Amino acid sequence: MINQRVSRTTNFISWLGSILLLILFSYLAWRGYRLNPTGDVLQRWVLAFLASELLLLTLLSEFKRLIRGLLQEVKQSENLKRHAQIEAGERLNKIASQLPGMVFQFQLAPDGSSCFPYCSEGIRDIYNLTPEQVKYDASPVFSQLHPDDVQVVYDSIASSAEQLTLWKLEYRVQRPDSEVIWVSGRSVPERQADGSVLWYGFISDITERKKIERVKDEFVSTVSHELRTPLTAISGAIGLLHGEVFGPLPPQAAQMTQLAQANVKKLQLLINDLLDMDKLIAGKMLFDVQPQPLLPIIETSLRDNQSYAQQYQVSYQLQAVSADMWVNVDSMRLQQVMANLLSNAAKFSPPQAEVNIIVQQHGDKALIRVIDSGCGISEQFKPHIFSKFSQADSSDIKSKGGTGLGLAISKQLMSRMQGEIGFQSEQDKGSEFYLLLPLASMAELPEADE
Amino acid sequence: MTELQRIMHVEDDPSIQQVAKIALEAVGGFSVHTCGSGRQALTEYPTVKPQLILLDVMMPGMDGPTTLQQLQAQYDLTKVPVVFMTAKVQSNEIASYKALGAADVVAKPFDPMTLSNQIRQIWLDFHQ
Repeated sequence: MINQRVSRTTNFISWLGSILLLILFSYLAWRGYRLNPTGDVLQRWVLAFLASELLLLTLLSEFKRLIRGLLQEVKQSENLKRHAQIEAGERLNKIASQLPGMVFQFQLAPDGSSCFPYCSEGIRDIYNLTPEQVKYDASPVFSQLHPDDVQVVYDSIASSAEQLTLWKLEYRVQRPDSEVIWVSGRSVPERQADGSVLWYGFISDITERKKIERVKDEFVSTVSHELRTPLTAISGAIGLLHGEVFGPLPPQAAQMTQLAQANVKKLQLLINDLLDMDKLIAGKMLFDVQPQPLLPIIETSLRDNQSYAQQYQVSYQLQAVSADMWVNVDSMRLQQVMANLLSNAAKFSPPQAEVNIIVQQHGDKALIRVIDSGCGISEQFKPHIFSKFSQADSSDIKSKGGTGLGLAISKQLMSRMQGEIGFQSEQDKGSEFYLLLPLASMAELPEADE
Repeated sequence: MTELQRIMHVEDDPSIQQVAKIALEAVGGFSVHTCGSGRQALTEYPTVKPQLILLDVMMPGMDGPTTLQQLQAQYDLTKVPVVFMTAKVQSNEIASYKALGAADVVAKPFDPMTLSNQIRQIWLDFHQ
C-alpha cells in the first residue's frame, strides 16, 4: 500500500517536471526568437528544433517510466488478489475441516452434466472420495446412492433447480464396503449466467440420529402396546364390576369401582396424549380431512363431553349463529380439540356456571368460541399456554387433572387442518378460547342429491 | 338372517380373554370360544364353526392379519365377519385392516358394558 502511494507521488513529480521543462524550453525558443528577431531563419529554427528535441526526449523518458510504473502496479495488484484468494481458500478449508460433514458447491450444467467445483475434505467421511475425484465430474457420488433413494435424490435436485428452491433431503448412501449410512443434505441454488445451477450447501452423516429415532419409535410402539394391554384388562374388569354384571355392589364398593374407573380413564387419556404428541412431532399422525358440515361435529362434541361437565356441575350452551357452514377437517381430530377446550372450560368454571359455545362465520372462516366464566389465565402464564406440559400451577395437575399436553396437541392439530387456535382471558373473570377454520369452497362441497 | 350366537375370540393375553368372555357372555348373552393364538384358531375353526371372529392384531408368533389371511385361505369366510380388536386405530391402520377383509375394528381399551352391542351392530351391518 505504501509502495503504491510512493510510486504515484514519484509519477506526479515526474509529470510536473516534464511540464516545467516544456515551459522552460518553449520560453528559450521564444527568447531565441526575441533576442535575435532579425537573425537568420536557420538560427531560429535550430533553437526551436533543439527545444522541441529536448522536450520530446523528456516526454518519451517520462512516458516509459509511467508505463513501467503502471505495469508494476497491475502486477502487484494481481499478486495481492491471488494471495488473498489462496488465503481465503485456506481459511475456508480450515473452517470446513472442523465441520461434521462435507461443505460443497455443486454445479448442474444445462446438458445434465454435474460436478463439485468446491468440496471440503469431509467428502472422504461421507462418500469415501477425495474433492479432486469429483471436481469435474459428480458421477462417483451418484453411483454411491442407495438404490431405493436414487430417484428421490434426482427428483429433489431437478425440482430445486427448476424452482430455485432450497434443496433439503435425508437419504441413504451405500458405500463401496456395502456399509449403508444415512445423510442429510441442505443447499441453496443460484442460477448462473451460462444457464447452469450452482448450489452452496452441506451434507452431514445422520446415521446415529436415525438409529436413535428407530429405537425411540420402537419404544413408543412397545409402550403403546404394553401399557394399553394391561389397561384394557383393568378397565374391562372394573367396568364389569361397576356395571354390576356379577350382582349389585354395596354402595361403598360401587363408589370404589367408580373411583378406579375414573382413574383408569385418566391413565388412558395420559397415554393417548403422550402417543399423540409423539406422532405429531414425528409427523406420523395421519389426517382424514374431508369437507363436511361443522355444526354436527360441534354437537357431537358437546354430547360426548356432557357427562364430564356434569361432574363439575357445569352446563354447555350452544348458540349456532351460522348453522350451515362447511369446513375441511378430520372430524375426529376436531372433536379431540373441542373435547380439550370443553373439558378445560368445565373444570376451571365455578359450580352452576354456564359455558357458552358460539358457532359463527367470520369472513371466509368458521369461528368457534368456547367462553367460560372461570378463574381466567394469569398474564405470566399466557405466553406458555400452548407449550408442552404447561399448567398454570403445578398443583393444577393434581387438583384439576390433565397432562398439560392438551392445548399443545390442540394447537398442532389445528395447524395440521390449516386452522388456528387462540384465546383471550382476564384473570378471575373467565377465558374465551376460539378456533378458526377455513370454510370449504363451493367446488369442494358434494353435489346435492337430485 | 340368523341371530349371532357363537363368537371365536383370538387373543394372547389371558386377562383380556377373561374380560372379553364375561363381557360378551354375561352382558351380551353370546357363546364365546377363546383361542390363545392364531394357530389354535386355525386348528379349531372347523369344530367351533363361529359366526363371528374377534381377532387381536398384535400377537406373538402369528399376528392377527396373518391369522386372517390363513383363515381366508383355508376356509370360506364369506358369511363370517372378522373384527379386529386393537389399540392401533389411526385412520390408515383401520383402512389397512379393512383392505385385508376385516368387517370392522374395535378399539382397545373397550368398554365391556357396550362391547356386545357394538359386536351385534357389526353383525347386523355385515349381513345387511
